[in-house]
Amino acid sequence: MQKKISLFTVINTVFLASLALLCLLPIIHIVAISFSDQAAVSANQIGLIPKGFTLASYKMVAKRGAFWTAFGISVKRVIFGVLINTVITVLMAYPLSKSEKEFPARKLYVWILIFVMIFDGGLVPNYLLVNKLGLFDTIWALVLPTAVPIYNIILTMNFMKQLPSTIEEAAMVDGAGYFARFIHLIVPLSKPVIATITLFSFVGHWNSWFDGKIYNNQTSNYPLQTYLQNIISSSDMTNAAEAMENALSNVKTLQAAQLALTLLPILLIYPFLQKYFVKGITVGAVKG
Amino acid sequence: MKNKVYAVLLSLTLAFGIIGCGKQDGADAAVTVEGPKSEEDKMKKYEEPITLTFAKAEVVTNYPAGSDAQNNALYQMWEDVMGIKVENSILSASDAMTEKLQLAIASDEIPDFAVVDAMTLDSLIKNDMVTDMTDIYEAWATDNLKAVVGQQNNALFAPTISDGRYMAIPVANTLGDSYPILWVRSDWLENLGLSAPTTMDEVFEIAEKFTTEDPDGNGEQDTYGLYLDKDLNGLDAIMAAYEVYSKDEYWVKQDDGSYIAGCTNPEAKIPLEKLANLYEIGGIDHEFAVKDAAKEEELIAAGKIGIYIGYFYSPLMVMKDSVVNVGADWTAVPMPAAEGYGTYKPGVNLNVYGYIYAKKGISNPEAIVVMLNHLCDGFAVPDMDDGNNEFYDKFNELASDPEISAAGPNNLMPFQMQGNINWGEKFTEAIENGETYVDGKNADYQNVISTELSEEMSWAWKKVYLEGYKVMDMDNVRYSDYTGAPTDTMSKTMSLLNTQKLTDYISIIMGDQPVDYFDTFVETYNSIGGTKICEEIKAAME
Amino acid sequence: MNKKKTSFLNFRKNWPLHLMLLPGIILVIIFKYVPLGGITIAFKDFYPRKGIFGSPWVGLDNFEYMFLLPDTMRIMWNTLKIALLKILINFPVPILIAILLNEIKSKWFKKSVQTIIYLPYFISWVILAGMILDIFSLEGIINQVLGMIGMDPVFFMGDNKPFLGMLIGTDVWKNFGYGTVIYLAAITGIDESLYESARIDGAGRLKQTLYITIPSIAPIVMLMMILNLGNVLNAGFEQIFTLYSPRVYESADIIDTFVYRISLVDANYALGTAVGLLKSVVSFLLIVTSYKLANKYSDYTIF
Repeated sequence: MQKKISLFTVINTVFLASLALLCLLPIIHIVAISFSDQAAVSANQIGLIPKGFTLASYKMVAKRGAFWTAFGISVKRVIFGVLINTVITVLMAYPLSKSEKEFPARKLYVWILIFVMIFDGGLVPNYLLVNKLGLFDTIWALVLPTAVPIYNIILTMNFMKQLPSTIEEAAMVDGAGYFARFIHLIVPLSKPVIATITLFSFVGHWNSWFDGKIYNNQTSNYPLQTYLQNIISSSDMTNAAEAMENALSNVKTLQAAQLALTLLPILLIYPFLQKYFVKGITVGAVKG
Repeated sequence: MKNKVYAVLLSLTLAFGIIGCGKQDGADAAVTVEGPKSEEDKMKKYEEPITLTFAKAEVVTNYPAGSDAQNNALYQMWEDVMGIKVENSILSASDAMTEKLQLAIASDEIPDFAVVDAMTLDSLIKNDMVTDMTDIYEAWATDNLKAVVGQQNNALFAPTISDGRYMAIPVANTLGDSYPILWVRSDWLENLGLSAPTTMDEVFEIAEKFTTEDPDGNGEQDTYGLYLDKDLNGLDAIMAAYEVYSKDEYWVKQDDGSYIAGCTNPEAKIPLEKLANLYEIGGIDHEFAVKDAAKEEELIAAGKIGIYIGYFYSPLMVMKDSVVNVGADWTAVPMPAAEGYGTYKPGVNLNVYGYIYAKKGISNPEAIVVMLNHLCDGFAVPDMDDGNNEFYDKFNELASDPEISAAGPNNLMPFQMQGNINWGEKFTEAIENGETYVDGKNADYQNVISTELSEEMSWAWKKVYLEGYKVMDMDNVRYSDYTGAPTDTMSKTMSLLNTQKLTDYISIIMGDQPVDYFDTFVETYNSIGGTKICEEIKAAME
Repeated sequence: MNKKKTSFLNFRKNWPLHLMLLPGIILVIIFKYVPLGGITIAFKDFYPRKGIFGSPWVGLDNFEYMFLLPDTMRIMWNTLKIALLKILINFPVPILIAILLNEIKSKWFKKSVQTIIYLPYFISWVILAGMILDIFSLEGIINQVLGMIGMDPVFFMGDNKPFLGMLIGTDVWKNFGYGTVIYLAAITGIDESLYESARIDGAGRLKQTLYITIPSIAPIVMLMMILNLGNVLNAGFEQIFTLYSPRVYESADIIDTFVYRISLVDANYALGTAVGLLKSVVSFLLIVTSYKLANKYSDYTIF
């Protein structure tokens, strides 16, 4: 009786396995296209396995300066962006996790943040500001306007709130000030949530394209996703030479290779951080 | 606490000043421009090189090694020949350029000059951002330039006029680029024993046969008679056969002096019904409404489509793939009128790349005309090489570099210009005379006569110049009866109107709605701005 | 507030806390509050040369015009429809999957599935759009499969009905892993002794789920629902912008895409700002309400 595997377990396992597969199929499909022969791709013969295996598209991408320039800008953006996001988030979450009794001004600060989570000046005023500050075509245009990730702050704040208050109280008795307690106690204890927001901020910076499109006057300053969005959406052809150009750059395999390469960093960093974020996200989001 | 809050509000108000302020009035002192000292001066080289900022629409992806949109041989050439250093302060994909420029206008930071569309030009003029070019053009333009950009009684200038003054100069393009050509699979015609159509009615009959009679002989009904894509490319050319001018922003003057939008002409029901019938029997790709041109053209490449309304250069773009894939052959047919209608006249837009403006307050606005003078002599007049044209000679020299040639030398320049030269006849003549060089389009001519190109490329180049060009009748075209600057309502609603037209036309063609739904469309179109625009046009023309 | 005279800002004791907040607050003021002044464009006839201050006031003209446009009602309705459908369908799926996943005994399998289904959450819409447009085209792999089992091809990206389904479907696909992780953690946290006593009472798996698991996670479910209320006007700009075409405007054009087109394609900044402002005001009311509800029913405090 104990060894009997019930029908339910079988169906359940199969169902969940197919569900997981469903999440992977599109990625596998794209990767398969990127390694396939172009003729097979035009004829729509690619499912999940490359046909006429070739590295040709990757070789073409490798020679494509614009792709790597954009890649480099995205890397730079992620480094600066994540660093700034994380530091600001942790710095702000700590005071906000204090009770109103201990920190009466908390309410004012929270409202300052909540208000702009919803109200936004709109495209043109944001554009004017970034322009007037002279940030155009610099990495700062991509990093500074998103420097304060309010959602992440709330997440981190909620996480810190549920840390047992006795720990801090003990340190307080020993005479440790806010800074000392913050650095030596709170930050180490908040590792799961910090890993989580780091991942979120990494993904956010790596994935965003709209600001790259608006805040850059030179295509050579586009981050990777903006560069890709440009390729995927542009098919306007007004003259013969342009048409031939596009025919070359719109080749499906080439596009697939660039998509796959763009996904790669996410796939690489994800397994490392994911062991933390289950804890970080659930405690932060769920527990008030 | 209250005080603190007010303090915060006050500092915010101050900070808001960063984005809130515009330019003070009179910030730009009026610049006086001297006339040219001599005829040669019009084609001068600035001794002390001047730098002008520019908005460059990027189309090249394969720059020659070590070059980019800013640093390349052609930009260098402009500097060497004219003493004008063009600096791309905005570099953007061409389909994002309007957005970029609109944002630049919003922040009052436009480049010194750029080639813009009528809508953007209108924003610029309304915001008082451009120099009045009337006198500068009059004084500095060469006769050649005046002949090209002033073609058809300065018709091309219409959108640049504000209070009777020219606020920009049209950058002429060839009419050929927008003149529709009916490309038909000649191998299919042959297979089915058909001859080329001479009326639009025959075009539909052939399209039907191409669908149902298995023209590729593979025993399956897997072919489409007619090409159509989600932007309805080609539709306007069909409509013109019924004297309906359905292009975006195309206005037709009625006998009573009022105007209507061309696309609301009820005659349009005839071709729409024919298209709906063709769609129903499978003569048009059932998915055309979600495929952009690039996507839909895959069907042409795969040899599945028999009739394509394109342009003289279409063989180079898409049709050549069908030659490789299925051994297709195409023939260029002059667009025919429908039975009972007069000579076919395509509705065309003003043949311009755009309108070149000089930012208000720049110190050398005449440099814009000087650039145009050089370009015009190099590219737009029939007999370009009078032996004394440095710009043109250098261009040809650079264009012979294989890497530059591959990237497209015209695209590497800041902007280009063309005239209405019928190269088809010139090339045919040259081949008959066994010439090895054709002035002005020599690079293309070399491709036409080359024996080293791949079979399909050689086929394509020949189709372009020896067939496509020759079925064009550039004297018989029809401009919109209103080509002036966009009216208020036009600026506000034009893209909504265009979308309305597109979605309703598509619904009718796909049979989602009956043909009589057209009346509902006209009603909607007029109520959301159509009527108002026509009234504004009438007022503007009086 | 405290009767004892501690000042609101209480710099003497709280200065390190204020200091920690300072850099962030400065950035928020510069990059969020300063542009907020641009909202006045909604009440102006905006001429860039004159600047935001210098442009003439036009009162509510832009709002009046907005309601004259036939598109306005459509985009409002679409926004609500798409957002509500997403919320409704996004809500049971992760709960169900979390419960099923919890039944799995193999730790390794459980963990792998969890990791994989969470992955799409991290892929950008730009990349997803590239994949989706390819996979769901008429010649795409899905229609090939449909063809093999003898079904008519479906016009996924171009017919209004399937397109709406695509929007909901791809959104659920991208996001259900996120919810699953949360619910699974909540389920894992349920006191094991509850199950044990249920088993002793002879309750089967189904009964355990119905009477223990679901009631135990009910507060979290409730909370997630309430929090979603604030998103009713966020139908997903990035997703729709990267996937739609004029053909499906009828079913998929939402406030955010409309604002984008009207501002940047038609250069009607004032109208775009007006529409955006209206959305912000309604969103704000909804969010405040939802947080008040959350506070009342599940003791959840964000403020």
